[in-house]
Amino acid sequence: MSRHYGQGIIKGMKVTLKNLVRGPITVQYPEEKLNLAKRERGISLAWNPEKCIGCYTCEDACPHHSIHIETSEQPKQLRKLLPCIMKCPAKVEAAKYVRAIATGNPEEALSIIREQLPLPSACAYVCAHPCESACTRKTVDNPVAIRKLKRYAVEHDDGRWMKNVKQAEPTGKSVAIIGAGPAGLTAAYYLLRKGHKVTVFDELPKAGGMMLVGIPRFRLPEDALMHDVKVIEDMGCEFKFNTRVEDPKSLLGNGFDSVLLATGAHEAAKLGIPGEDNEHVLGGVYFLKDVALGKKIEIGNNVVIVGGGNTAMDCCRTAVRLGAKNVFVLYRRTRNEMPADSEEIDMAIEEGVDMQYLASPVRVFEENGQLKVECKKMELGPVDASGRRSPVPIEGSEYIIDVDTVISASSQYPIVPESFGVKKNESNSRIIVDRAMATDIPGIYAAGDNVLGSSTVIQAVAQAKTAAKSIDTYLGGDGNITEVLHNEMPLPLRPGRPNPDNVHDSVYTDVDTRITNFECVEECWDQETAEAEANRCLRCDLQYEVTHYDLKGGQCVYCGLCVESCPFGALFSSSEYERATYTTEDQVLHKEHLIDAPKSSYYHSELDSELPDQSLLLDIDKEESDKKKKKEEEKKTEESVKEEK
Amino acid sequence: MWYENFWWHLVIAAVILIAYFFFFIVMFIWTERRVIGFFQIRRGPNRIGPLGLFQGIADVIKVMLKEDIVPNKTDKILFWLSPLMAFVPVMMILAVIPFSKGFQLVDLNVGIIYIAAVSSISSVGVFLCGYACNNKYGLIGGMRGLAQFISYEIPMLLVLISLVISSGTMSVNGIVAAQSLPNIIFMPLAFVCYFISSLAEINRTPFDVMECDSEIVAGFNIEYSGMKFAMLYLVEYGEAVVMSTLVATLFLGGYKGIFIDGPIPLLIKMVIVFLFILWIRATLPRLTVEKSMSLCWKFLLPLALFNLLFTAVRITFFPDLAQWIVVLVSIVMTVLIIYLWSGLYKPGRELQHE
Amino acid sequence: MSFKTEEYVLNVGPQHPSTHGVFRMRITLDGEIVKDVEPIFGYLHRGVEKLMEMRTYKQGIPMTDRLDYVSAINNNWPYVMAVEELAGIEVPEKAEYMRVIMAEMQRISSHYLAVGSQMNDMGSFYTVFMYMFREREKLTDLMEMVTGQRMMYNYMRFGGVSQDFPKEFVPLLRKFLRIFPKYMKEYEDLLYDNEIYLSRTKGVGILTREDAINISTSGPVLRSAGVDFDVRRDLPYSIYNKFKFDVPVGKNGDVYDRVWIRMEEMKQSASIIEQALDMMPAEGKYQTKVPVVLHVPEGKTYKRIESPRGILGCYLESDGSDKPYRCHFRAPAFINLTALKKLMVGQTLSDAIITFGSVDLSMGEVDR
Repeated sequence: MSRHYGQGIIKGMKVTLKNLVRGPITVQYPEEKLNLAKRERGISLAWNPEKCIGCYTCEDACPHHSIHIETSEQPKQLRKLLPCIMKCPAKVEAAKYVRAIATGNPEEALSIIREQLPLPSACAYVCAHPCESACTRKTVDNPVAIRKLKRYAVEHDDGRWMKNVKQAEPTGKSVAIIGAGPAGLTAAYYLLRKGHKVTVFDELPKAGGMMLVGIPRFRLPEDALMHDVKVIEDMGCEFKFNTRVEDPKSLLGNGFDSVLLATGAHEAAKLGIPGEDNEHVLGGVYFLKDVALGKKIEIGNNVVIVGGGNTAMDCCRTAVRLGAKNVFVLYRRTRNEMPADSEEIDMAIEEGVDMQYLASPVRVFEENGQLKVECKKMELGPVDASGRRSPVPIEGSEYIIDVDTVISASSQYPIVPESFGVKKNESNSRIIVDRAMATDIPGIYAAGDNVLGSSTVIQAVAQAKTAAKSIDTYLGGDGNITEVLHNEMPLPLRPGRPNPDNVHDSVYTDVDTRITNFECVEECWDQETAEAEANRCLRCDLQYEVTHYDLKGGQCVYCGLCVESCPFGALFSSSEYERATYTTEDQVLHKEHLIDAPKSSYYHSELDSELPDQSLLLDIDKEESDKKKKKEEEKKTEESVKEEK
Repeated sequence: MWYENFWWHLVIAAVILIAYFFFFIVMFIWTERRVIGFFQIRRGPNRIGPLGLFQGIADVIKVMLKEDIVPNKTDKILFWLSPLMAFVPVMMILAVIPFSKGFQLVDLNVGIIYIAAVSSISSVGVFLCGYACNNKYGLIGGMRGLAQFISYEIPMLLVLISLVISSGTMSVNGIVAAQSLPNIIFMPLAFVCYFISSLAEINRTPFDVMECDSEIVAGFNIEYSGMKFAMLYLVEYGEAVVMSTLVATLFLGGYKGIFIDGPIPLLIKMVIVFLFILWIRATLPRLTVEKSMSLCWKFLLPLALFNLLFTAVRITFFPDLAQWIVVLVSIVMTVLIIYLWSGLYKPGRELQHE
Repeated sequence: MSFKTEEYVLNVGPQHPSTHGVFRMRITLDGEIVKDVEPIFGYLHRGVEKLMEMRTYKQGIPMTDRLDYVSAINNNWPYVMAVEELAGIEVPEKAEYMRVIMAEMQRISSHYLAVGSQMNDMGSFYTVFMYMFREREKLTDLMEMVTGQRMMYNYMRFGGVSQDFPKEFVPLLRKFLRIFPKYMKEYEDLLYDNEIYLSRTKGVGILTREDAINISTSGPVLRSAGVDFDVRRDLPYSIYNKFKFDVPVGKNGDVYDRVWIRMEEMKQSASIIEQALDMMPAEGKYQTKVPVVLHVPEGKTYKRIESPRGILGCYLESDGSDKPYRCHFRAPAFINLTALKKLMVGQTLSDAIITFGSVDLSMGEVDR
């Protein structure tokens, strides 16, 4: 007599009475109103014509085709402050020249590039393209391939840009530039334009600096580089090669009014492991330099490259071309963290380079005349200061590989000689300059890697431009180096949405042929592809007026994807059906995958014995695997018995 | 009384009764919806008229204006007739209820038998509704309803017999007059049995097995629409009005009030009974038909029989017992027997692992 | 006297108050006893899987919301997880916590609806339902605060969630968790002691343990039969291995156990939310940047989560384009539906209806 019929009913009636007293929770609509959440999504979809540029992204993002927009044919206004231009250190107007290419005018595009960048060919091949990482199209799918479009423009150089060049009258002043790298050449170009006399000193036999010796020929062919150099040479630049300037101060009095130090970063970083003094352990930069200058190097068949940057990729691909059979790359983290360009990594893998991620060398040693590298496996730990996950070594995971050459390509840095006499940082690796790129000695300026550390071509160009401005001002000029080279283009009409293609593949020469020589591997796009790619640009620089913005309320499900997808923040809110087969195995639960979790405290263990045996699929699996194991064991025992016999 | 022999007395009383009947139906529709609303922490209808009082009228107008659909393969005559058959007897019960001392349509000396007889006709009408409409849901509802009516009639009548024994008269007026203390205090057990069985009689939660929205989609009235549906709707609430009035009359002292006698105490009591029904409705889930049967036959019938025996023994052997002793003994006996009996009674299936 | 009976067929649905959507059953009855059940569905078929093949990956997320419309956030999850695995997108830690919090809130609100409508089926019209909606309303308000929607939240994104929690959200959620047990106690008083409720649920609609496994039911239906299995605990996805929670397991596999498990699961979910709120990092990204038109590398995967109705799986096959090649959902309600015949045959019509309710089907998921 545990429970009496009616007790629970009375208990329940108490609860309902309590709730009767609590009063209603419903809302009387006009008299009372609910406080709506601030993030209301729904019929209040609003559209800001100030920000909207008519890029059709929202229309494409809508899952139900309920947005329909029409834009005016003529753009309403030009927008400044575009991500691609802002991100470019040299402020090359990417949006503008991509537009020129899209309208079938690559020659004009080159003029636009030339306005900001005196080394278009070199940049077209090897620029680190910060513009692409900033591209608005990236929020939609993939950024516009601006560098390759630049390559396309450079290939169509017909010299038209020269027509608008304004050469200043000679000023009679002369400038010495130490280093014929990207910074030196850029500064030389602008200073020559301003009418100064320029002499470039370099210890290498050719112009180009790090572009010549730091970048292998298959990435940047010498012709392209020399094309840019020739322009500067034709302007009257005097080159003094194979000359090492030890004391720039002495130049100041000897016929030069100003000096620019642009010596670059030529020292390879050390690995910092025992045994790296071995003659077969090479610095990445030295290795590339030797190859570029045509020295004969024996690297053997097994080469290990340590590092994950572009230098490492250059080294390993160079090693492949030098005839190494087995090329390994050791990198401490995984591919996602690798600083090298993804395309470079892909090509290296294509060319047969063995990427060993999460591995780090511990020591290099020689045994019986054979060079060996001991490596350690790593795993990714917590996120460190650089925002990447730091590698943590796994104890006891060492392994040894036999090698002929080890190349340390982890990083490079400049060394500023004592004899320069300028203010440096403590480790002698940077010249300290002010914002005008002036060192502590009046008349001496510095730009490029010896200010930045190891950096990119476009950074060096940007610095050199600043330095050229400062030098011009120092020499009595107005410091204005801006040029207008392109002819005024008609603003293009917008017939429709941007090209919806995802990405246009780069064209590379065949792997089997390219690993045998140092020819450039990347081929230029044809007109069709280039224009299609250029049409992918959302045209952030032109604001087209949206004449018709139609949201079909009946089809809209208020999912908010249009608001999220808008790159400009202009939207806001208040029968081959069974074509694919999915395998049933995917959906079966395997007991091995189950973790050994603690059992539920609600579990009724006393019932387990009462319940019949399970016809669980899981149990059948287990039985079968048990049977298999038994059979295998039996076989083994039989075999061992036989062997004994 | 001086007016009893005048013919127009009948006319006036009938008009008043009909007015009472319809007024309270409309008001109960409003009350039910509003009070259930408050039980369910919402407001209920409150837009039409002050506090939504005219909601019932609006409902009636709406129902009357609806198209009257007669499905194809129905039994046409029964389909027309059955709502009336269900409706008229409900109203007829009111004829014997005294609203004030001597105010009554007819004071039948067999009033109780009249009530039992007439109220049964209504259930036949309801069953015929389900039968006539040629719909399986309707048929299931009708059958369930009929089975339940017949079953619950038994404990109900046994309780009424005990009332008759206790009061010594079959006239409803007499029963009211005999209640110097309300019968609920004299015979609580009888009240419990009568209240539960009349809940079943008028199809209220937890015994609404014949309507049973979630299973058989309104059951017997599934095919009815328009005025005929209104009729069935009126039956439902009419039964509620009549049942509350009957309980108030038979067990709560009828028109006898604490300070004054007359219709007002009766109305107050009736409304209290109805509110109690609503409270039950707001709390309880529905019984299934077989559990409702089991409750009737296994729980209520023994109790009603015991009550009859107890009353008979009291009247036969201790007719002159002091009132307070009777009250005390009745209450103690009721609590005890319900406690014992409810512990023994098992409504559900026996479970293996309990 | 011979008493001849005849079986007849009763057509329940597609328009019926207790079918929770447009579901239809042809029930063969002998008197009131159910002799056979033939479930007929497809009235809500919208071809979601096919529609997803025609839309980009991101446009597929709002489609998944509409599978099981009472637990939209849980539906996003396996799809998003599958795409994340194929595309190699990492989810920030904070986003994982946010997902867990929202999904558990969704589980509570889904169970509120399930238990409430179960009581509706039982004839206690809208009392418990309204009481439960009082709290569910609070949850819905909270979720609206985060997502801007009250039903089709469309909250999860590849690599995180669509929006950060507003600063008012966490205190309000904690407030809800404070009042939550008080109300749960009230419902337990209202249900567990009520004799009518007990008589209607105990021993009704029993699913045996081997049947439950062989039909491959999942979720509360499986656990009510005494099988101790929960994907969250046994095959932990996301960050569920960081939380301590219990898995309610039933005894008899009857309607009572199913409702009881839902009530207990609500409490466990509340405890998970509390733990998650305590452990959630205050700073951090809530989303990895992913392009609007995502191109997923070729491959296929199958991901499963524990939705309020059971194991919700998503099989995704990509051919390298921006649209899925095939997207299939293992809908728990659909598989649980196949247990209906075992559950219902042999009972009276009234019991069969509440048994049906206790399986807690969501037709959007069954028909897809």
